[in-house]
Order: sequence, then structure tokens, then C-alpha cells
Amino acid sequence: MGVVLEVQEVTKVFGPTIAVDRVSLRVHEGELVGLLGPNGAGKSTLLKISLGLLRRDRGNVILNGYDPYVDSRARRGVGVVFERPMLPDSLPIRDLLYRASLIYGSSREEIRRAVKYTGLEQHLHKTFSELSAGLKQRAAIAHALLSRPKLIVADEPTSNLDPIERVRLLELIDMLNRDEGISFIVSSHVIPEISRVARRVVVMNRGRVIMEGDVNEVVMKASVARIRASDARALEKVLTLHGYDVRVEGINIIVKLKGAEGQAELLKLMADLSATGTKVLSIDFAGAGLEEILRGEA
Amino acid sequence: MSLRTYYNLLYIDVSDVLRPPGLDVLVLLVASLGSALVTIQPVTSPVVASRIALDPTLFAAALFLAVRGSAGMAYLIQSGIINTYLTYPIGKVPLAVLLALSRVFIPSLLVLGAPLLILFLLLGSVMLKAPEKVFGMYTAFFFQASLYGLIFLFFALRSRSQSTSGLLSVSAYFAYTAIALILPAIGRSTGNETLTKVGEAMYLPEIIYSSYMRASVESWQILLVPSLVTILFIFVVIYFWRRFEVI
Repeated sequence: MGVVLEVQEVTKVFGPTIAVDRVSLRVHEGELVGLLGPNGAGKSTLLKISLGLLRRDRGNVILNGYDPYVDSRARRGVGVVFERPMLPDSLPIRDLLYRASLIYGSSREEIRRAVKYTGLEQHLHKTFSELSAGLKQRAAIAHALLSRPKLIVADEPTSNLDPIERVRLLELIDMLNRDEGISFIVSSHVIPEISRVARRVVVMNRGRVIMEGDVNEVVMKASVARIRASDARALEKVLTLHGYDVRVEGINIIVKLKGAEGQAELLKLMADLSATGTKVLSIDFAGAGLEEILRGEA
Repeated sequence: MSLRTYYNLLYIDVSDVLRPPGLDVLVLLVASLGSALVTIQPVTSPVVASRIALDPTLFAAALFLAVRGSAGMAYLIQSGIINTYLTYPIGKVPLAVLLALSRVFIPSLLVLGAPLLILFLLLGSVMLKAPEKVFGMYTAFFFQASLYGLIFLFFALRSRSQSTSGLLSVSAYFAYTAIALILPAIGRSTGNETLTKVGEAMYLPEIIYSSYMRASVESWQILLVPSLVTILFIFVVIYFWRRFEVI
């Protein structure tokens, strides 16, 4: 598989703040990579550098075989969807997509396909500001599709959407990736969303990549159990003796699970403890939150 | 990239600059005002007619450039539309040229052209006596408006704020106009002829008008504003290319 985007040891400094610190990543053809991290982690800055919209202070970026900061040919075949999608408001969506298709050199058939994919058929007469948040994001995707994309860069594309629109948008991204073979790099701070579409994730915090790998491994690594017990402190001691990473939050004990068999192993231990008189009120297993992943690496 | 690519991005941005209500109202206003000013006076010279019509129009053009050119550019940056423009496979230098065209040069041409068009319709026989001189006056006003527009555009790129760039633009316009008036006054009172001539040359339409009226004008006075426009244009393009970064 060829590489569409390669970021090598990139650093970006804003005044005294290191926004991106020696970050490297690759996106292969047909791959959907999730870029996870809390607000301020450097995700948006990294994506803008990857597109050549921001100058980097150190490192290299190769997009489609060119350095995007110096050569605009790098952005051929690259669609972009920003967190707050903004397209010019002076033209109806129909005219805007037509003009954009002429810029990208795509055909009328490709406009029709982009409109169909994004379900904008009923809204083409409206200007961008007349669209709802979800439709704006869809219009931005339709616009991105006109670039005949090999890669779509989506910076927190679901952040302004309601839960239903979020699901629809993620389904659209997944479909474009599977059916059209378009590579994606999608940033977010919501793990369940990224888990839904991405096969590989890169986790960033404070400008650095702190974890990278298969999405299930990364999430599993940070999965936790929330246990309620009558004596949380006593149970904390017992679990710590058994080698668990444990912390107490009020009446809950948060236990970091050990790998793929972690759930079964913990349940067996809790059953043994119950048999010997420890009162366990409830056990909830939770998928990893970003907080857990970041905590695990702290 | 083909010319078609540039043309279509220009089309999108010009549509934003000229979107109604704005230029349509302004053009109607300045065209009516310009033609009214001329027709109520017994004007028989095309140069005088052009000057009477275009002088107040220049102020209207400067206001339009400050609001739609400069503040509009700041809105492009604040809203993130500029990010979309920058994701097109177009280099930053051609994009800067396109933005100068759509935000400065094309609006200047249109706003200043409206009253002249009406004059040609109403006073065709007068205006056609010396169309080349009418064109000369129009070009002089165009350069003057472009000078203001490029200063405003730079403020927008630098400040990235609609209110700040609007305020700076209006202040810069009045500062420039005041300097162009004060310098000749100081020059005359101190007997410094160069100061007087520099002040006069800062307003190109007056220099061109004087040259058509056979007053003595030096060639550098004619070249001052066009040179400033050229330098500012290159400066804005280089600034956008080398220093401008998205938010």
C-alpha cells in the first residue's frame, strides 16, 4: 500500500507554546486513521501543517509526493472537512459546488455523485448559512468529494452535530472509505466515534504522540471497570495486592483491566472475594475514555 | 493550474464581495449623485465632468473597500472561509493576487465606472469630445482607490479582525487625506516647493486634472501613486505568501 501522507518529526511552536512536538505519522492508501486527543492536544495544528496551511518549524511533510507548504500540487486529490465547516455564502450550494468542480477539474457527474452521497438533493438552492449544522457538514463533505480525493482530512467533523447527525456522518465516512477506497484522517476527542470508523488510531496529548496502534488494542489497553463496594478502601488494598492499577473516586473503585482477558479475570477475582465476605454492590465495565488513555500514559 | 481554475475561484470571491445589498445600492447612489452633480452644472469639458462625478465617488469607493474589501477579508479569515480557499490546489501567490483583484481592483473599477457610464449616457456628446482624457481621469481615480484598498487589505490580513481592520482602514484613509492636505500647506508657508509637490502628488486625480488643464506637473508626480500602488501590491502578495498563517 502506498503512502498518501507522511509526517516526519514535525514541530510547530507558537510563541512559548510547543503546539506540535516531533510528531510522525503515516496514512496509507485506503486507510482510515483516527487522530485522538483532548482539546489543545495539537490535532488541528498537525492537520493544518499536513495540508500546508501552516508553516512548520521543523520536520518534513509529504502529501501526495510533494511538500504541501511549498507546492500546491500536494493538495490535488485532497479533500478537507473542518470542525466548523465554512464555505462562501454568496452562492447557492448548487452554484458553489459547480464552481468548486471547475476549480478541481471534476465533472458534472461527479457533482451529482457527491450530492447523492451526502443527501443534499433537497437543499441545493440554499446558501451555506441557510443549512443546519449537519447539512453544513454534509455540504463540506460534498465539496471535499469534488476534489476527486485520494485522502480526506476531517478535523473533528462531528463536534457541532447532534447525536443522530453524528451517527449519519460517521456512516458516510465509513461508506466512502469502504466503497470508494478514500483514505481518511479523522480527528476527534470522542473514542466511541473514532472506534466506529477507524482501524488505526494515533493518540496525541500536549503536542506529542503518546500512543499509536490498532484501535481495539488501544481502547482495550485502557478499558476500566467501575466497582461499588461497601468498603472501597479495603477492596482497593486487596486489588492492589493482586497487581491491579486502582484508584478510588468517591464510593467507586476504578480498576484498569489487564488486556483482552481482563474482564473475565477480574470477575473471577471478585467472585472469590465475595465468597470470602467482601460485599460488592455492582460492577460496570466501561470502554476506555480518553481520560483513561491519557491517564494510562501519564 | 489553468486559468479556468483561477477564474472560478475569482468568481466565487467576487460574488462574495459584490453580494447584494452592497455594491448594487452603492453603484445606484454614486451613479445618480455623479450624474446629478454634472447635469446641474453647465459643464462642457469631459475632464471637468469626470472630475465632478468621480471626486465624491472616490469617497464612496474608499468606504466600500473598507467595508467589503477589508472587513470582508477579515471575515473570510475569522470565519475560516480562507482555510477552504487555501485547501484548493492553488499556490499562495496566485491566491494573494486573486484576493487583491476581488477585494480591491475589481470593486474599484466597478464603483468608479458607474457614474462614468451614466455620464456617457446623459452627456455623450460632451464625454466623447476626449474619451482618452476621460479614461485618464478614470485611471487616476482607479489608482487612488486601489491605493486605499491595498492599505485596507493589508490591515485585514494583519489584524484578522473585522472591527479592527475597519477602524484602521477609516483612520488610514483620513490620515492619508490629511497628510496630502497638510504637506502642501506647510510647503507653501515655509517656501518648500518639494513638500508642496509631494503633497499634491499624493492625490493623483488632481495631478492628472492639472496636466489636462495645462498646469505644470512633473513626471514623478504622475508616477508617485501608481508606484505606491505597485509597491503595496507586491508587499501584500509577499506578506500573504510568507507571513500569513491561518487561525
